[in-house]
Amino acid sequence: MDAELDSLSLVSVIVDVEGDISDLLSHSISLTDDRAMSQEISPFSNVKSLLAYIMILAAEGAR
Amino acid sequence: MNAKMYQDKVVLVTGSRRGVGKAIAEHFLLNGATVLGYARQEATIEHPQYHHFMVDVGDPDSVVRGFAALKKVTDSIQIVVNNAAVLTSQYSMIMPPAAAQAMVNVNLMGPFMVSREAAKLMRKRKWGRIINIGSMAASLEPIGDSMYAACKAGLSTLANVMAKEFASMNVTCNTLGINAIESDMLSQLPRDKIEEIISGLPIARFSVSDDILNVIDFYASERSSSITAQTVFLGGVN
Repeated sequence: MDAELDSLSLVSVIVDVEGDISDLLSHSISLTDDRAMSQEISPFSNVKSLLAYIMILAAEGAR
Repeated sequence: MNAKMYQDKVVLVTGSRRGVGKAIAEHFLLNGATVLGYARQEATIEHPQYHHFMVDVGDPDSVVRGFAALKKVTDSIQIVVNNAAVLTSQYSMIMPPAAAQAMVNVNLMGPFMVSREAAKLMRKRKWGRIINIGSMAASLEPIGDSMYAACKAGLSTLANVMAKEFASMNVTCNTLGINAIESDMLSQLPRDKIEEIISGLPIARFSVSDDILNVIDFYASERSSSITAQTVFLGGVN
């Protein structure tokens, strides 16, 4: 209700974050696959949940 | 035509090993583009500006891996031609479900995934052309082509919706509905059936490569920035 991003802007943010994190980690992560979309707590609920999900993906990629 | 009209362009063509896809890839190469080709098997094009990737567009994971691989070659794509397709022509009641599923995967899900991933690259430069290779079957709805025709009709819808989603990125999405052209795919169909269909068209002849390349050039042109969500059929099909 208090969103300051419209839906397309939110998509752009997700795609930007996905690309930038992939570049940073030197391996691809996906924030837009089935796994991301089926999380019990959506990674896109807020910045904290998004960060937590990215950390999970980063840790998996580091193994 | 300017011999180097695509000199600064990077073009992704799916199904680039043979038939229409190969002709399209070679056309872009001839006109100066760097071409990235996706196909399930080894390359059949040798050219210094051609980069081949073994990708099954019917497998979403394969497409994602393909984009990860092509990002090692280039960080941009300007033009995508979704050409890869499979065809099984059979009465619906005896069509093997696996064959029907394969058509959905390759002919519809493939263009969706490729366009999805390519748009992420196109948005960085705010320029792009996505061109889907459709079919007269979408309009003529021939017996035996239920799933194929449905996929090709869906391809236009896919492009039309993406045209809205990507318009602000200056990315256009269009479909070219080709008719019969001598190819491996065409040879799978009864010749008499094809000739009967073609004879009923306003332009009653088989297509040649240049019929297709003409529309590809139109959609890909800098001047076509306001041409989006359109389907052009060859031969007078509508």
